Amino acid sequence: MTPRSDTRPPRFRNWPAFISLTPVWLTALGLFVGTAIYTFYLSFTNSRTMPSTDLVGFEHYVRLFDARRWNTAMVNMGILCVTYVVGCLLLGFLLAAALDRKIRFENTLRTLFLYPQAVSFVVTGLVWQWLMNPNLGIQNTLQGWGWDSFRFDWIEHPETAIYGVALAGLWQGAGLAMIILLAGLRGIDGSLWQAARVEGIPLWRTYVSIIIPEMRAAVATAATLLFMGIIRTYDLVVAMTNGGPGSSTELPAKFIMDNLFNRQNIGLATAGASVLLITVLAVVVPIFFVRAAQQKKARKGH
Amino acid sequence: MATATFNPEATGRKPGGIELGRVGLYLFLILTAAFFVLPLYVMVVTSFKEMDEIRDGQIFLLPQTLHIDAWRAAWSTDCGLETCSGISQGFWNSVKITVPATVISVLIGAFVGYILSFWKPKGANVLFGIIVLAGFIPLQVFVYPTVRIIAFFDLYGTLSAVILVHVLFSLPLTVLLFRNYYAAVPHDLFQAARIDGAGFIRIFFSLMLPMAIPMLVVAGLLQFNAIWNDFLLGMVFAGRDNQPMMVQLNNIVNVTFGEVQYNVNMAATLLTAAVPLLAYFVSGRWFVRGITAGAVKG
Amino acid sequence: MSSSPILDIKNASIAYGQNVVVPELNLSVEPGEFIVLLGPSGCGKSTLLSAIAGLTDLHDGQIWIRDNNVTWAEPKDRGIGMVFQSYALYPRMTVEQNLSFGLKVAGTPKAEIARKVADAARILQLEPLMKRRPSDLSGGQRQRVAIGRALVRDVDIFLFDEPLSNLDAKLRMELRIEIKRLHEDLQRTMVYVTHDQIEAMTLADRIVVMKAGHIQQVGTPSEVYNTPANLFVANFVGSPSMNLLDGTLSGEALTLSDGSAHAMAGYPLSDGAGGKVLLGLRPEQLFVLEGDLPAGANRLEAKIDMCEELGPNSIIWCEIAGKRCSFSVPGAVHYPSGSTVPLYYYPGTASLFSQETEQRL
Repeated sequence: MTPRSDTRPPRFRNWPAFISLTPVWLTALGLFVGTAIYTFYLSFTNSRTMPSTDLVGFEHYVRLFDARRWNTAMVNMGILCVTYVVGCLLLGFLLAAALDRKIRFENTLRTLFLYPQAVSFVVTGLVWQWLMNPNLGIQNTLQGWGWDSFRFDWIEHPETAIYGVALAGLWQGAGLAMIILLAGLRGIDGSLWQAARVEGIPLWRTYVSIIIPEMRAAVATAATLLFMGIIRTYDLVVAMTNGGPGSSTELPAKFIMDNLFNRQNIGLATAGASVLLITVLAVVVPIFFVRAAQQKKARKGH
Repeated sequence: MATATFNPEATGRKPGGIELGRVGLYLFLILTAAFFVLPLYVMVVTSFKEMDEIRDGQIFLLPQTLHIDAWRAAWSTDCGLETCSGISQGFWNSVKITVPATVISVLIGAFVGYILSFWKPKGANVLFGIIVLAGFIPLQVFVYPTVRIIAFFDLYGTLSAVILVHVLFSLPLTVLLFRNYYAAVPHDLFQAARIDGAGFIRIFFSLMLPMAIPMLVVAGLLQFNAIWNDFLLGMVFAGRDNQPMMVQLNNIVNVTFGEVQYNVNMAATLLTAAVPLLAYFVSGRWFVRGITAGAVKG
Repeated sequence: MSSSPILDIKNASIAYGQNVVVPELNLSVEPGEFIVLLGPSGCGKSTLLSAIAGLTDLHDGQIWIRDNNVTWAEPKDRGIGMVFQSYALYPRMTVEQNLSFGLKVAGTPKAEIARKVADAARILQLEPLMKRRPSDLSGGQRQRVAIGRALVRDVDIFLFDEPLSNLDAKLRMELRIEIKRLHEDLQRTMVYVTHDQIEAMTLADRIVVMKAGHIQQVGTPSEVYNTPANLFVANFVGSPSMNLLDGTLSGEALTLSDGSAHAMAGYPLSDGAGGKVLLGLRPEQLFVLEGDLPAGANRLEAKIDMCEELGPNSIIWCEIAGKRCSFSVPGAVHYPSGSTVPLYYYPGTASLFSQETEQRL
C-alpha cells in the first residue's frame, strides 16, 4: 500500500476486506435469510408439487395442527426433550464428575464415552435397531440366559418406540454433554474444593451447593446443543424406525422432509419448517441478546 | 472439633483400606463404558459370523470362526435399491465429496474469520450474527428453496452441487471456530504486520494462516466427520449416481428382500463408520478440542 | 499451656510417588506467633502448608496441633482455617452465606451461627457487605471474608497460601498491612506462605526460609536479614542482594582477591575457621569514607559504574575487588562513572561464608 492511500479515510482502506466479504454477504442474505423467508412465504401459498403464488393464508397451519402425524411428531419432540436432553445432561454430568475424580485410565475412558460422537446418526440408528430386534438382539440373548421376562424390543411397539430412539440418542449424545460439562468442571477454581474440605463440607454437598451452581454456563451450552439436536433429528429416526411403527416415532424434521420430497405437500412442509424456525428463534434470539448485554456489561466493568 | 478423636500414634500416611466410594466410582465407570462399547462390539463380532450362528441369538459370543465373506459382500456385491455393487461405490463418492468440501470449507472459514476478526469492515458484526444464527436453524428451513436455486443453475444431482451445499451450510461452524480462534490473537500482532507494510492478502497467508494451524487441524477433523456422516444433504442433492456412503448404507440395510443378512449389514455399517472412527481414535485429543471449541458458541 | 507449641511438625516428609518434596522436616510454632514460610517457587513451602491443613498426606512423620496428633485427622477436625491464593470464596453465595455455610453443614444451632457470624462481621468490618456476592467485593474485602470464614470456626491456626501474590503492588501493600493489623487484634497463630521477602520481613515474628524442602534458617526477620545462616539465605533475602567478595581467611586475617588485607576482629569467628571464604556485606553496611578510617573498620575501594536515585536514598552500582557490588547512601547522590570512591565497613556486622560448605562461619 502506498503512503498516499493512508491519508484517505480509513473506511476506504478496507476495500479488499469489503470485496472479499461480498460472496459471504450473498450467502448470508441469499442462502440463509432469503431461503428462510422464501420458506416462510411458501407456507402461506397453495404449493403442492411445485411452488405456487396463490396465497391461502393460514390454511396450512390449520391443517398442520390438525394433522395427527404432526401432533405426534411434536409430542415426540417434547418426550425427547425430557428423556434425551435430561438423560444426556444427567449421564454426561455423572461421567464428567467421575472423570474429574483423579481416576486411572481417564483418557481411555473419555475416548470410549465420546466415540459415538464420531459415528453418524444413520449408523447409530441401524445399530440400535439391531440391538432392539426381539429375535436376534439383546432381548433374545438375555432370555436365552434364563431371564425370561427381559424385554428390550421397545422399537417394536408404538407406545415405547420413541424411548428406544431416546436411548439410541443418549448413547450418541451423552459424550457431548460430558465433554462440555467436564470443561466446565475443569474451569472451576480448584481451591474451592480444598476450601470446602477444610470446612468439612461433605462431597455431595460440595457438588450441590458450590460446584453445580458454578456450572450454569456449561449446562446451558450443553442443553442448547442437545435441544438443537432434537429439532434436527431426522436421519436417526429414518435409519432406526423410519417413523414407525405406524407414525409413533415421527419427528417434525422428518415430517417436513417427507412432505417436501415424498408427499409433494410443499405448503404443509414449509408451514412445519416455519414452526421449527420460530421455535428456534424464540429460544436462540433471547440468548443472543442476553449474552450481548452481558458482554457489554463485562466490558464496561473492566 | 471437640468430638473428633485423635490417634496419638498416627505417623505418616493414613492407612487407607479401599474406600467404598472409590469402588462405586470405578464400578459406575466400567458399567457405562460397557454401555458405550457394546454396540460397536456387537457389530464387529456379528460381521464375522455366518447367518446360522447369528440365528442362535447369542449376540455377545465371539464368532466360532472368522468369516470375512460378509465383509466382501458388503464391499462389492450387496444389493441396494437398483444395483448390486456393494457399498464401495458410495465409499468413493463419499471420498469425492468429503475431501474437497472439507478443504474448501476450512479455508473459507479461516479467511472469513480472519477478515471478521482483524479488518472488521462495516457491518462485520451483523454479518457474523446472521451466520451464527443460521447455524442454529435446522436445514429443513433452507433445503427446499436451496434445491430450487441449485436446479436453476442446472447443478442438481451433481457432485459439485453436494460439495457446494456442504461448503455453504458449514459456514456457520467454520467461521465461528476461526473467528473465536483469531479473537485470542493479540491485535498488536496484526498492527505490527501492517506497519511493516504487509497487505490484506499477505497478512493472511504469511501470518494468520500459519498461526491457525492447530485450528485448521481441529476444524478439518470436525468438518471431515460431519460431511462424511451427513445424510440429509447427500440424499437431497447428490442424485442417483453420486450417492454418498451414508445414503447408500441406509438404502442397502433398510430395503431388503428375503432374509436379512445381518452379518453383511453390520459389515457395511462398520465400513461406513470406519473412516470417521479411525480419524477419531487417531486424533482423539484434537477432536475433543474441536467439540469444546465449537460448543462454546458466540 | 503456653509452654507447649501450638503446632509441632515432627520428622515430616512429603512425597508425590517416588518424588520426595519435603524430607524430614521439624518445626515448632508457639501460640500467637506469625510464622512465614519463605522460599522460591518449588521449595515445598505450599506443600508443607497443605500437609498442615490435611489436604496432602504425609509420607512419614507426625503433625501435632494443640497437643493432638492430627496426622490422620480430616482437615475440618484439625482446628485450622485456610485462606487461599484465590480466596476460594463460594461464588454463588453472599458474604453471610459464605461465613455461615461451614457451620450450617456441621449442624451448629442457628442462634450460635448467627452470633459467630455477627462477631466475625464486626471484627472484620464486614457488616455493610453481608448481602453482597464475592464478585461485587474488592480484593481487600474478599480477603476479609476469607479470613472471616476461618474466624467463625474458632480455629487455632490460620493458614495463608500466598494470598497476595496475584495482586498489584499497591493493593498488595494495603492488604499486607491489614493482615498485620488483624494478627495484632486477633492474637491468633498464623502460618503464612510467600515467595515475597518484603511480605516475610514485614509480617513475620519468625521467618522459615526453605529451599528444596529443607529448612535453611528459622529466625526473626532481623536475624535472617543480618546474620543469614548460609549463602542461599544471604542471596534470597534482601534487595539488592548481599555483596559477596572472594577471599582467604587465616585466623582473623582476611585477604581479598585483589590482595587487600582485612582484620576481622569483632567478627564472632569459631576456632579453626579458615580457608576460602566469601565476605558478605549488605549494601547499607557499606559507608563512604570521608576523612580518616574509623576505629575497627576496614577499607574498600569501589569503582563506580552507575547511580540509581530512589528518592530517600541512592543505590550506587560499582565494582569492588573485581566483583559487581552495590551500596546505599542516603539522599540523592551522584558519582561520575569510572571514578573511585573509598568505602568502609565494620567486620562485626559483616557475614563470612565458607566457599566449600556455603555455611556461615
